[in-house]
Amino acid sequence: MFQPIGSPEAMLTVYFDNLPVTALPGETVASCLLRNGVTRFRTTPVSGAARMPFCMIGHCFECLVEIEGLGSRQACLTVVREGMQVATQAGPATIYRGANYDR
Amino acid sequence: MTAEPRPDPSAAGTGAMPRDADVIVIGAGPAGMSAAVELSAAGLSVIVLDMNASPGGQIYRAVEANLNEGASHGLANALGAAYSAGQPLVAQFRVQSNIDYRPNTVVWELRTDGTVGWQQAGRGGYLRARHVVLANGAMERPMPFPGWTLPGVMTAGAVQTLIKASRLKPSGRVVLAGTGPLLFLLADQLLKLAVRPALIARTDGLGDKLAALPRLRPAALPALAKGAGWMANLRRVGVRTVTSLTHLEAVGNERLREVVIKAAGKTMRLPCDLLIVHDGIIPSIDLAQGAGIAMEWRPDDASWRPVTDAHGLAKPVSGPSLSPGPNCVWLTGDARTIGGADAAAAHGMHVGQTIAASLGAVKSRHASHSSPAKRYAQAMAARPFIDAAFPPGRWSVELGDATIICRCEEITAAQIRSCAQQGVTDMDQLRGLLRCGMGPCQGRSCATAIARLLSREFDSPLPMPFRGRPPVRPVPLGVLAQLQSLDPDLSRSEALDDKPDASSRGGIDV
Amino acid sequence: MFDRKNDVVIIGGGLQGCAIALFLAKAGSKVTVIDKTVAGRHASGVNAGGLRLLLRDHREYPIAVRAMDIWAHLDQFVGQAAAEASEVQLQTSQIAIAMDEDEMAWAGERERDMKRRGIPNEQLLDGADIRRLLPGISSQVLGGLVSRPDGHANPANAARAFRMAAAAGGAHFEERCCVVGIDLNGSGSWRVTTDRGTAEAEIVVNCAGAWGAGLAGLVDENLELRSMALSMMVTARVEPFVAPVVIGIDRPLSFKQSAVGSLVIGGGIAGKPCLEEGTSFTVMDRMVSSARATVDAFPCLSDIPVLRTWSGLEGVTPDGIPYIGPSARHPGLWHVFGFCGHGFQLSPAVGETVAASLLSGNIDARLQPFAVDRFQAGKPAQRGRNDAA
Repeated sequence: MFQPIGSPEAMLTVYFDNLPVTALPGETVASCLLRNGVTRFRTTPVSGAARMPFCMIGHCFECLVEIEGLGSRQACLTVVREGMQVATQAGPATIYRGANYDR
Repeated sequence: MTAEPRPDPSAAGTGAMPRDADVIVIGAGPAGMSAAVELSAAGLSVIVLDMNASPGGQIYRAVEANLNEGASHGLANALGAAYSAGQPLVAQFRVQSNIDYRPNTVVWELRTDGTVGWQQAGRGGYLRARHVVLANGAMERPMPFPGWTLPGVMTAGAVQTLIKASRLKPSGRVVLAGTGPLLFLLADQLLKLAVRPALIARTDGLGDKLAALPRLRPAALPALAKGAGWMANLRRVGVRTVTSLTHLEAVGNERLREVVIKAAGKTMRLPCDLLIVHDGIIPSIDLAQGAGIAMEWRPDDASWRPVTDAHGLAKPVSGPSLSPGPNCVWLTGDARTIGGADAAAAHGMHVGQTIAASLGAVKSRHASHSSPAKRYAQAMAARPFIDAAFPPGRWSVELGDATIICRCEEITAAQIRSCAQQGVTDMDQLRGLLRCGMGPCQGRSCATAIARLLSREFDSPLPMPFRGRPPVRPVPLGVLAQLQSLDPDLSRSEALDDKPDASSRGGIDV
Repeated sequence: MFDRKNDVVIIGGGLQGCAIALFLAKAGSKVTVIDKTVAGRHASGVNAGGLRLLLRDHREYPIAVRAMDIWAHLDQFVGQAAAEASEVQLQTSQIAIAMDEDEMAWAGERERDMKRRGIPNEQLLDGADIRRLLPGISSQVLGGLVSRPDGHANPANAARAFRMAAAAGGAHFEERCCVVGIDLNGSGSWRVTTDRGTAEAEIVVNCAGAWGAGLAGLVDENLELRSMALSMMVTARVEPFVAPVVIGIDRPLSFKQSAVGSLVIGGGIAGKPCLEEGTSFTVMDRMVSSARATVDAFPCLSDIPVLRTWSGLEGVTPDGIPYIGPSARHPGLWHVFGFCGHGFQLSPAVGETVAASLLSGNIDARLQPFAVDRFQAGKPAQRGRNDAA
């Protein structure tokens, strides 16, 4: 669906559903996933239909994914960081049970 | 050279809370940047809040990065002179020393008394100023059609964002559909990036152009020439174009596989990897609506526009308000009325000057050679022609029953029609019954489509947007729990204490 | 302009008014319900939907227990489809959590007190019990109280259910209709004048919610009522997280997971009420304490986003329990309002007992604590925390 313009530069590594994917420094999680051919960012909690970003500017909320264990994050408004963990959101947001589970 | 920022000495106004700046500007696009530069040059303290990581808004997105390093990518050339023209303003915005610029900041509440709720990087709170300039821009006019929620359908603005900010361009079989200058600008940009659309399917036709001619003004001729140039280029290269599009459908299982198009009576099916749609842009009204600013429904534009005076001072709805007292919210740029980047920059400067004058602040440097009001009028001169030549919202006429209208809650046109047939034509009542507008986007993608459906097909009065209560954008519970800078008067815990006394005083037996 | 003769006119088409209308209509009474907007528009549709015995004022218990029976068999009253749409959950528990020693001590006292009264369903929990019943709860929570029969429902859908059932039972509705006057006519029956017509009846029931005191004022009856805008927050949909409804003891906490998976968080937080204009505003500054109570109790919810808030107008009496009973000044007039944010659960039984009382001419004994004249001089009323004075 999308291809890079110009030659690739020093890229970062980000993880999507535990698989490593390349990311352009400074790009958003949404464009990183699109760069890597991801067409299903989430499935809706209403019907389970697959969704992908629609507007890319923070208005449509279709790009919701799980980022570092936190659900319902807008991928188009989150800039990638080296080693970031991103996951498909299947239906409703999961509840983070990581290190800060019980402060 | 620049005057010291002047903090507000008085504690009066927003409760007894001190102000954080003279002016808060929401949005760092051309309008917001212009206003901020003008205000700070006049010696006022300015905080600029913006959702993105760098200034420029949508149109000048990533202009710094692309013009600095982008030469070898050919991006500047592909994106065109109008894009590069944004760089000086961004540079000026950056060097203006007393602008407190806060990127990656989401605004989730705006009040007419100058209070702004913000969040950034896991923290949030309130900021207060004597004036707020709301320059949060425009959004694409929602254009529901069968299959529009499929992966593989994106807006023209989305594709431009990917080009500018991520240096990604479409690949595979690309179809463009809809209308509006942005669609043709994008087509031109794609050609320059060696991407050749398989088809451009336009809802507008020659008839619209002819009907629009009486609105053509001399000042509009450059824009007209530019558009004509894009069209000529597309024709020369042989990109297939059809007009008078009456039906569009995206077909696929988990993702888009093909599009079905009916134009000028002819039906065609094309295999398609990416369907890029656009139906013009409309003001983004979420924050203004939440602040209680009056809205005007414009049937020909299938959109709401905030009501302001000529300078941009917003008009609150009549009746009770959360924050009594005079309104100090101003609107500028595409958030106020669609006009494009030049109009936005001019009006932003004008609002900055107007606010500065009202606060008795004087600009310490030379005034620009042409008044912003004149530049604004010139930039807006092309609008009547453009709006008539590319009329929006054709889709709702053919809105099939099975079409999803509310993407978040997956509510169809049939469900909405059924409710309306039973007499429910109030937007909020409809929302309560069907849940349309209750999802994460809070009606951004469905409200205008629903309003258009109701006003066209049912005997409903002028539609109003969904009642907007804060938060206008999602705020995590943990951020809310730690909000900074609360007004102690307002936040004094007023809760209903209905816990009964634990011990009995000889009461009634069961 | 309409001109209707009725047995009973009910002013206010919220849950109380519709429930009373339903039971009256079923018994063959000719009923007209008048509402100034649409039925269920205010507090009825805009509450947490708690079906709660837990921590209820003991004076409300008899009515509340009967109401639970009706909720459990709602289909028999409003039909299968409407009952399903009401999303009634029972036997899923409501749990009050104690975050400190004071709250824990209070909980212990409460359990003892209720046992003394012969009410067995509120049981003390220790920390281990709490953590077993509420996975994810903070280790700071010391324990609490549980009422196992309790649960929750969808308030807006339930309000609609009673509205539809009352109409199907023969009650007549006049919506978008404002009452401008209530008078006794020559023959001793009431004439209710509205902006769209007149309704006459032997009996008028004032179910006007937050506007109830204003309506009473039309007949020179002074009933103390404070209007409040109660607010809630709704989060994004989350994975199935909690079945019981969780409420605070001293802290402003009340939350449940709705049928679609969102968390509905209240706690009685007040917004800005505008009674005359019939609207209200959320004050986010005040939501902070409710959000803090939620994440203190459940730290793992810290990153769940709040998508929206709502607020609705409600009436609050000085002692925290409603007015339900005949007017102290005029025969043939009943007042049923002032439910202080917790009338939802009571409403089906309020409907049943008020209707029965009106039809028989004898006030049901369970309604005695709600006498409208209980604050008058000489009456030993228990004034509670919501004392307006």
